Amino acid sequence: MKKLLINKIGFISTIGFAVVTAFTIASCVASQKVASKSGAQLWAENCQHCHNTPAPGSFSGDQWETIGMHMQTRALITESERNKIVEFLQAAR
Amino acid sequence: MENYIWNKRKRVSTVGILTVATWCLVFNLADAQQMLTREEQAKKDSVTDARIAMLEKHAALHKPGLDHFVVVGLTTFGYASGKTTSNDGSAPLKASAFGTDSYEFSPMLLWRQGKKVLLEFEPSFNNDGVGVNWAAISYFAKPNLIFRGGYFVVPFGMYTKKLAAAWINKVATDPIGLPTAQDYGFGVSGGLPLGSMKWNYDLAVTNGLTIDPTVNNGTLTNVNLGAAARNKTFVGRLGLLPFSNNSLEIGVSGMTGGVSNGNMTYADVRANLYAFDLNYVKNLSPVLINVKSQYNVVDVGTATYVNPLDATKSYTFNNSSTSGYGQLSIRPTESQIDFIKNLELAFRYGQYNTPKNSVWGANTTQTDYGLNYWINWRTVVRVTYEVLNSKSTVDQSLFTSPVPNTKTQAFHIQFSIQL
Ligand code: HEC
Repeated sequence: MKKLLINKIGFISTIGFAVVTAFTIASCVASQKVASKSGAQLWAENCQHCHNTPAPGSFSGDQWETIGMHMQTRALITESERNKIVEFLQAAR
Repeated sequence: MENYIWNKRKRVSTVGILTVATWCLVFNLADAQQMLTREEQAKKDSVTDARIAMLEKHAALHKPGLDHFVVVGLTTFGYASGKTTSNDGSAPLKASAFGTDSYEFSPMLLWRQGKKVLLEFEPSFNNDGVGVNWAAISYFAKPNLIFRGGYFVVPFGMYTKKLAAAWINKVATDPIGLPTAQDYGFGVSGGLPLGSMKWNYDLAVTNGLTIDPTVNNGTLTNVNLGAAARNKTFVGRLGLLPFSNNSLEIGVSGMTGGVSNGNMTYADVRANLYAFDLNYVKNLSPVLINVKSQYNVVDVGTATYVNPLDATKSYTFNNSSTSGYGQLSIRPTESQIDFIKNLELAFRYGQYNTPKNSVWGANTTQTDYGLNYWINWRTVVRVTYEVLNSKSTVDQSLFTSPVPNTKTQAFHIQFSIQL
């Protein structure tokens, strides 16, 4: 009986979790203000979070492409943020 | 006369024949010559064609712009001088050395293939010898979904994965009591917008932890590639950046898994770990403020262990540890004087409480005062003064002589660079 109850609780919480997750993912859109940020602004805001803000001249354009991917795995920035930041770094160097 | 005419005709026709013959010969020769050059040309052409084909094949394989290799990484070296005193009346222990917390040479190799696949390999030479920090492959499947496999820093808390590199850290040592580091496994991660906020997830299943079989006293170690690692461990972190300016990130992490690794003595023993972290970085004119914090709980199920003084007896304890740190650093980024602008003041306070009545029980505090000079964004020279205060909470009956309280004061000077 106890086991059944636990199973039921487990089942309900799994469903609950799935529903919440689904809703959260579905509502994952950036607000207008966030979506319109420039690469320079995103670089200034995101890239000083863990270490000092990296200077664009430190790497070549191709290298920034690779490092952008590397930092996406560390900082878990969104892909659109990564693309804008990499474009900015390539243009500003 | 007739003879003369005949002779003349003969001469004319001889000359004519000779001329025609000569012309024929010349033409023929020229023709032959031409045929020869054409043959040679064709041969040359086919060599060129083959070479072009080979180059094209080579270029196709190489895909310039889509296939890249970068070597980055870091190195750190320094000097530490310290003194440990105990409350058991023994003479203070003095030690000074290059290295200890301050030696690391870690080249990091990054390959990417197109924009989908990234390999990272970071071997590391430090005072533990030669090891590996990262050997993982990431596949960028969807804009906000990255698969990862291999050997990587597990997504638990913030410090180990994101802040541990000496050129990133603000003081010369790591905070005390961080429960996990790298493991073999598979994971998913990604970052997503959430209106004006952002959130991210980083989840993995790994080989996990086991009760350290070399000491059997309840401390945990990595299973690594151990054969009996059937109890996989689930680990993950969820992060939220509640402000649209990305200044604050808070994270919650969990990790759960069996720790027996095939040892029947610990058959049902599990480890449950939690962590909370906070990272706040903001320009508060005229300074840049940086706050970092992480709190960890490690709960290991109850088990009995063999008494180290008498193998016929056993003992047990509540195998629960907590650790945490808070760190503040300030950099006067708006100073007109370059030298001042590059300075950074740092303060960190940490605590680590290991299980009372175990053979490794202690309440330890760690206090650090640091001054950093940033030569550029990725190169730092720093001095750190650290005090470690440790009060033993062991079950003294498990020892022949009492375990003392200790205090260590150390001075570190360190240079670190990202390359
Ligand atoms: C979540 C923390 C974090 C954030 C945010 C972050 N980085 Fe990093 N960064 C790291 C870590 C950790 C390393 C060191 C990599 C290692 O050795 O594991 C690093 C290394 C680097 C390096 C050295 C080369 C390399 O790839 O290792 C560059 C350049 C860099 N980061 C640029 C950036 C840029 C640009 C941004 C902004 C998009 C950024 N970082 C944001 C954590 C972060």
